[in-house]
Amino acid sequence: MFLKYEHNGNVYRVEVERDGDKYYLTYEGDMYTVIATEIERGYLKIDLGGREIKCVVSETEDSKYIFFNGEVFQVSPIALTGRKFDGKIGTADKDSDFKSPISGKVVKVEVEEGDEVSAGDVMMVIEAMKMEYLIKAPRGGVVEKVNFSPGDQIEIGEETLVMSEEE
Amino acid sequence: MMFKKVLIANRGEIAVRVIKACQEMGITTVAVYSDADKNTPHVHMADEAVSLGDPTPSESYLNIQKILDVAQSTGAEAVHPGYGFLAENPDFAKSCEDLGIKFIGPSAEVIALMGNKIKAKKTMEDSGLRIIPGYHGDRQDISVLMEKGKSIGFPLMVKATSGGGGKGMKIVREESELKNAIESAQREAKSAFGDSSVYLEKYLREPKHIEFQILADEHGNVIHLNERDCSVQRRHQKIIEETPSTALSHELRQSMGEAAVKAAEAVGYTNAGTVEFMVDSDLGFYFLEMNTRLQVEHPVTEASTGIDIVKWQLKIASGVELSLRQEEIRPHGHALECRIYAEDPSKGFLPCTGTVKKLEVPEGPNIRNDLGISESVVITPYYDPMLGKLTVKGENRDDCIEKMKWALSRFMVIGVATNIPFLKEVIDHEAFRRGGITTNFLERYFENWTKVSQELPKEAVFALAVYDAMYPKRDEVVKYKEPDPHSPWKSAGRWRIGV
Repeated sequence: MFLKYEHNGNVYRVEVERDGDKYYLTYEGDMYTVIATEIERGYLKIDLGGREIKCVVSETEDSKYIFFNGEVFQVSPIALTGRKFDGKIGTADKDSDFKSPISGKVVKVEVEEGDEVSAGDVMMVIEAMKMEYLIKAPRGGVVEKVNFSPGDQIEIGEETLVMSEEE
Repeated sequence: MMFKKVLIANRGEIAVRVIKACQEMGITTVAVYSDADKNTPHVHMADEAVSLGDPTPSESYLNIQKILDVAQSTGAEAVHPGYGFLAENPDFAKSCEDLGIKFIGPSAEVIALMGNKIKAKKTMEDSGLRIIPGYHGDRQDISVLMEKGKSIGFPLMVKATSGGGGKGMKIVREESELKNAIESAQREAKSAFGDSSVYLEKYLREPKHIEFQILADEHGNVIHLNERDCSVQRRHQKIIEETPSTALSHELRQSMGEAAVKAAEAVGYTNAGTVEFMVDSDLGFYFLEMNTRLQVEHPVTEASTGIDIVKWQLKIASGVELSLRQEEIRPHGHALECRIYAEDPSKGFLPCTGTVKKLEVPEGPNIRNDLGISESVVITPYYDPMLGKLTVKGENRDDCIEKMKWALSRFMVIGVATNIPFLKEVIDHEAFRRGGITTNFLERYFENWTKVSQELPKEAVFALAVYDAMYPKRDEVVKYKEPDPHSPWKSAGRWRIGV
């Protein structure tokens, strides 16, 4: 069984075959035999050739979570979509700087369409959980479109505004 | 006469904390909750729970009318406000009083006086306490504030007159940032406290934030329960608190404690409260503000003194005289508290929402968890992102830090990102271990902090693969095929799908 997991933009591939409580793993060119017991659903005790680790795996519709060594890692299993992932997936797309970092309410819009801004200028202020988040211009340019007005609800990842292409 | 029934006008971990104290004392509890909190622990734990409907704070936990209606219809004799929301709202305290419902806290007059940070400073200055220099006037026009700011010099702080909890508070390092900072602080203040006014203060370099817990009864007795050092702050929000402070000598502790008691006496304070001080690098201390309520970080004081502050709040409000004497307060050992926030440290500490899929907290001697969540609870964007607090006590500071490290590594929240990885590194930082840290600590050592490793550890990949082999899902398996003829597993035999 071949599996791929995406975590923080990296793809991890692993092959696993099960034989009772033995699991044969191929990972990064090396092979491992581990013995795993499930204490209760998702609570795993894994013997890595004498070293025993405890982890908890939990899943939602689109993510898997693993708790190991005091830390929670969130991964997305990659479905068989025909898309090819190799190593790093894309660098941040060019307009990600204008995406709202949080779901909240737009409290202030500092720019209008056609305004020229310089790097660092505050363009929009979004409030969530009683804190304000500033959308700042990452570079100089002209504001082409403002997608929200004060008082609007905004969801995480929504484009706050459109800026002219870099010259 | 002790109350028979108390309404808790709050949510989350603090509502749970107060309910527990009431139940131990045989007091019937009434919880209130918004639609977003229907399934949270405080609702299940209370003897009675009444819906406030709409989750918007102004329609629920900040809605005085709705809460008082519930208090009256359920026959609650007293209201415990917790912290935040209506805890420092003098109109709420006054409205309770008018209806003959006891507000568990100081009088409306004291709340109003201390709630106005400017008047509070002037009152304390008149009683002989030192305050930080700045502009504490009434003028709020941007041009006047800009002018005053320039004359104070930079860096300076903009703070909300009705503020608290880091909201409406900005540090201004240079003149060019002043206008934006004032306006932003005014908006935050307006939205968080309904009052947009701000004041300006000289920014102390390398200060320590040290506060004293006060208990004052309604018969004129005031004592303090020693200090809490809350210098570990991010964006003016406390993250880690401890007692005793490594910065205080016996003499300094004594004079600050006396000043705190004097501050409480000066305004006729009653119930539990906290006097906050800034301590500068020369160990001079300045009155910062008085919090007229139970503090988030009260468990560290409870851990070191063995005193149950919430029970004393209930006793004091019902008229009981303080039986504790100052000389009987003998803190021992060292206590640390970490605030667990639903924040993603890998995304600039943005608050996170989501469903708590699994939750497991550390248990052991001298480990205390104050939690407002349980499995399947949904974290919504409506309220503060604090999920709970982890408090531990050790024989000494090193022992306490080791215990906290262990406890944090066993604190599991799955489904919502938390600041736990960050807390672990802060606790383990060499400068934190050394002690004597200032409010600049996080900024200095953790300014652009991200998780050290962005990689998925090998063990995690193995566990995922094992789990997926136990519970295979067709659409997640990239490819089914016969084992590679050259694969060393060929000899392992045919593997199975489905268990």
